Amino acid sequence: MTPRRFSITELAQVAGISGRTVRYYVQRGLIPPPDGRGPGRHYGQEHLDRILKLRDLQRTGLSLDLATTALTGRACEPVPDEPIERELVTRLKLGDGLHLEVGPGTPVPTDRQLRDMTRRCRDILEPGNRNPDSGG
Amino acid sequence: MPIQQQLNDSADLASGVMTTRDGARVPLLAVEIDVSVHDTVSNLTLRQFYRNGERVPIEALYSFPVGDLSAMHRLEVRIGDRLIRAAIDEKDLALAAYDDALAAGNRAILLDQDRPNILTLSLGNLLPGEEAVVTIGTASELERHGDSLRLLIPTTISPRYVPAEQAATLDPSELSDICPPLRNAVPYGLRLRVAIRGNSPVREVECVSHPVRTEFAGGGAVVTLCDRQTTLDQDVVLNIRFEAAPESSALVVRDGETECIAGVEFRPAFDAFPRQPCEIVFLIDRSGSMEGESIEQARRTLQICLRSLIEGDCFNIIGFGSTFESLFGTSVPYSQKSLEAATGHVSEIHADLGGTEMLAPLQFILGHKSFARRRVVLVTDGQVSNEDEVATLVASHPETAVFTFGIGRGVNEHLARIIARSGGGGAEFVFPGERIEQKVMRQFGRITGPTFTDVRLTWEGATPDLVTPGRLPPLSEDAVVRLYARLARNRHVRVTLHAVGPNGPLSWTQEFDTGDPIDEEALPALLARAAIREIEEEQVAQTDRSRSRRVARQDRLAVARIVALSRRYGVLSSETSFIGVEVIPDANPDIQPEFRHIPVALTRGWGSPTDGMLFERNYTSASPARSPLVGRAGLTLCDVESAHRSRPWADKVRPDPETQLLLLQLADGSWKLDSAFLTAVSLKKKALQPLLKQLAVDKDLGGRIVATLVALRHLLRDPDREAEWQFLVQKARLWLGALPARPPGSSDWEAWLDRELPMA
Repeated sequence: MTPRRFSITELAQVAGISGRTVRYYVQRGLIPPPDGRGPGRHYGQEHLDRILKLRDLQRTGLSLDLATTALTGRACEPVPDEPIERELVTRLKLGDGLHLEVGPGTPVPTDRQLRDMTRRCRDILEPGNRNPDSGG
Repeated sequence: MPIQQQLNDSADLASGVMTTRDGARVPLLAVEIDVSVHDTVSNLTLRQFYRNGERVPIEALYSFPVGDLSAMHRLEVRIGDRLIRAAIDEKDLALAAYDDALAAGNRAILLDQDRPNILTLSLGNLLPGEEAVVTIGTASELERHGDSLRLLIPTTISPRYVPAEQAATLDPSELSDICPPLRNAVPYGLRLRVAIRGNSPVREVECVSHPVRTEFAGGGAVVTLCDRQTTLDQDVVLNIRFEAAPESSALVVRDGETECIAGVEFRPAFDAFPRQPCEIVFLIDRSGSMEGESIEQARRTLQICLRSLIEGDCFNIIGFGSTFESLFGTSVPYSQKSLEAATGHVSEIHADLGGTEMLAPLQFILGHKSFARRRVVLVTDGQVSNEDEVATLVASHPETAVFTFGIGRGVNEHLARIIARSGGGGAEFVFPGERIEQKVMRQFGRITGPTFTDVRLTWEGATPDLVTPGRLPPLSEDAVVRLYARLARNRHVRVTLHAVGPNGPLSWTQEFDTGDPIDEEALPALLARAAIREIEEEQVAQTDRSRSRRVARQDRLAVARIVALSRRYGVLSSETSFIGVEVIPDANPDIQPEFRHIPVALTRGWGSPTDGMLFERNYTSASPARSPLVGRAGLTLCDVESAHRSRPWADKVRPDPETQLLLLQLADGSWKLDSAFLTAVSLKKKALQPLLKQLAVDKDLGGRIVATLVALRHLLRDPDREAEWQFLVQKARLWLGALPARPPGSSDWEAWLDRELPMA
């Protein structure tokens, strides 16, 4: 069987994307440039498969960077050079599955406040399982 | 000549210091813009200087803004001693040629229109050490604002909000082009030169955005930026006035052997009509991008708008971001109570509503039935990606006119204009620190004034085979109608503009000959661009918006019309691209160029409050007379070098005495004689006691009469600014005229004040 051959426009149509996005994928190394030498350069089934895979990954909600990583096993682009924000917080366990984070500058609640907070949280999260002490 | 020498600025370039996101050098070294303005038309040449300082071949991709009224008609790139001239081709064919050239190891240049005001240039296979100068020729119109012309040159693409539903369907490449990578600073700078000439001498030039040097000679003016290289992080805005405002006119230029193109402008004059009550909904962008000086400008704009309403009007204020909040459940009558509630609300609004979901609040407003002539006044910086959807929604509600105030240092001019065009309203632009009163009053004249409908043209002597705009929108009081027509040569042409106003039909006529057309390249490009834009906007209204515009099915006939116009006049469009290819004899297709996406600078004032610094307004005039273009808060500077200082925005927005006075006017048009009023007019109550004693009315009414008269005198003391306060003055005079009391010994209240309290 003759392998399928596409121009950039045909490939875009078959894949349901724009020609510019095919080019965009080539530029970012997500698909290789068209095959062959001379005027007969073309895209093929391998290009189409990769684009469809990329599109599927993106449809599942994956960002292009993550889709690229999933597809190629490498990161799309290095970590941006914006400064990393760091903040020290105090993390307190109120109970199973219930945690409280207290940011800098805020005093850590007293034990009594923590117990009260835990009870109120439970009341909201598990209304059918009310603590008899909650009075509600 | 090497680029370094051409720039003569090697120390400033800092190339190689800044990197792209993947750690490589930014190959764009500098941007140079040369503008030649002749009355209302400008020719702009944009040059971008690139150098590949790497050891591998590269492909550079740069998205940049252009003016919304621009027609791109030339693209070429010089690499060494070789010049590649690009030509117009259909978008798909151009892309295929570009893709093919790069895959073969050859060189190519491609220019695409992503939005009418965003272009993307791809320059492929720039070999190590090579330098390239890309030249883009554009023609554009200057917009008239009163008796001045405004030249706006955008320099960066502000970050845009992409609504969730659009993000899911937007083509990845489109998203990447309209939201390019951002940096707080970029290594390439801007050089600008604007030469201005007209049929009458240039009177004054004001640059509201940058420190500039202006030289007047031979009736023209040349404006250059004071800095050797300026950061591309905000629009360049020039207000230009000629000794005599360019008259309504017709310009005829050659188009091939047998045809010509006429550019015709009408400035119809209308009689004054009494103000009719209407419903006005103020829709305020409170998204994060409005933070800082933009929201402050929005507040001031709103405060002035509120004072321009009259009893009988209804109004509401809706703020929007990710969600929207309405001040009143539905529009309420304008009264002292509702004015006070609105004033308090406006002083408290912040840019705290997150994203920019513009569709939902518009749907909310347009979905309500209106009891009067409804107008929506949208105040925004326009940083959204779904311009087309918003314009389509507005166009589908012709019963409501929509007016826009575009605010900020990097406003999305396209959004503000397309909404105003689709909504049958008008657009005004406010650069931070610029005086806004004049703009608000002008806009309010359109909003509240009569509308002239059934606008059409009739031709005698020759019938054009192409006229744009094909459909003329309703006219407002200060309308300027610009049209382009393709006509046969050697005719005497008479064109008449018709409209129907409240008192019946009106018409205005212009006559011109097509026998001796001149050679000029801007007008044909502008005709083509205007005709293409009309088809593009019709397309937008009909396109399935659930899909990205790059893959949506288009009307084939419309596409063919766009392509034909684009090819014939060599003008870029949404359906065509500029493409140029150079075959490299010993090209090696095995070495593919590395991709370099060029970052753009974050718009000034975004990011952190400390960025919100403002240059002093820079204004120069051919005559020493004070310019009405310059606000009291601004400076009239002739020593332009000293203009290069900055001071915090907070100082800039301190209201002038007139604005303080404006904020104190009551809904009925009067002022109250209290301590705030006395402070605003710098008077002591003692000075007004003799007047109060003469009035045989109760103390409170007497105080209001005297305060209103003093306020009128203050507002009218500067004849240059009289027009700015026209609505307030009208309201005050109406209130005085309706009083049961008459002035002692006089028939006119203002004459009585002049007699009893002569001006100091």
